[in-house]
Amino acid sequence: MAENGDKRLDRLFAAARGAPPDTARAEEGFEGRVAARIRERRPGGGEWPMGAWAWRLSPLFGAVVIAVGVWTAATIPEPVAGAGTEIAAAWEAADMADFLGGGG
Amino acid sequence: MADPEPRPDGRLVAAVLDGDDGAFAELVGRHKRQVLRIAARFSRAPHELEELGQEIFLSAYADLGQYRGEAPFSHWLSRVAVRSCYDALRKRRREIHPLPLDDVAPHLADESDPGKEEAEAARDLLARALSRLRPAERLVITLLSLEERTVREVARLTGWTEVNVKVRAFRARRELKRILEEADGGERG
Repeated sequence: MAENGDKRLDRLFAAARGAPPDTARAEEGFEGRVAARIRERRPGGGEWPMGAWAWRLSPLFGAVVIAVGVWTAATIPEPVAGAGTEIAAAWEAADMADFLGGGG
Repeated sequence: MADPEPRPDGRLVAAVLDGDDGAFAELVGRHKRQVLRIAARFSRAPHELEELGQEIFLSAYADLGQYRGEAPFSHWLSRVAVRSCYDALRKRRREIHPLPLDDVAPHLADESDPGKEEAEAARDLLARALSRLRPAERLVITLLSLEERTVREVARLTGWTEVNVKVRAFRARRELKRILEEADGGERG
């Protein structure tokens, strides 16, 4: 019985090998369709070889970040304390004096 | 003027990594038949073949930087194809029921050289029976018995050990025989 099953299976496989799949239709223009899929996916970035460009350009990105940092430090003036800040500081000092002097 | 010498695969890969998509189209054109033939063993309809074939080349494109050039590009691409087919089988198993066996083709006559119709009937019957196997077993038995790869080749393509491949092949055959016997019982009953 098992032998029959084996023989039958072998015959099925042999016959199926005699009818290899026909891929001719799928082959027509296949390169173009793959290229279109690649273009579609490109904005995703990281998983593609174009991601290699990110590494190659990393020194440039680093230089840009440093330049922006230097420019920011050089051009933005130091914050000046406003009137509100001064009033709050005065109240805090008064509260502190009261507390330390036992007035609270 | 004679055509320029075709660029070897390794140089095309380097060109793709430098951003030349035309080089990748050349690689696809050169290897599409080999890849689609593998994909066709695991596809049930033309749209599945197209989708799986494209997925294989998209995976190859994404992983191209991993190709070291130590083995022929076609070997590396076959591994990518087999891995993609295995992923597709596992995904499909979660989504779709196997093909029915109630209208299976009759037994093959005991001939050494089946005719075209008989061969196609055999392929259909096998496809239905194979769709009921676990993905790993289906992959192994397809590569061994339909693609006529050796155990060593299947191990290399799948990344499994040779012992593992043999065990899966044994289980696949046992299961296929059971499925066919069960279908026979259904036909008679």
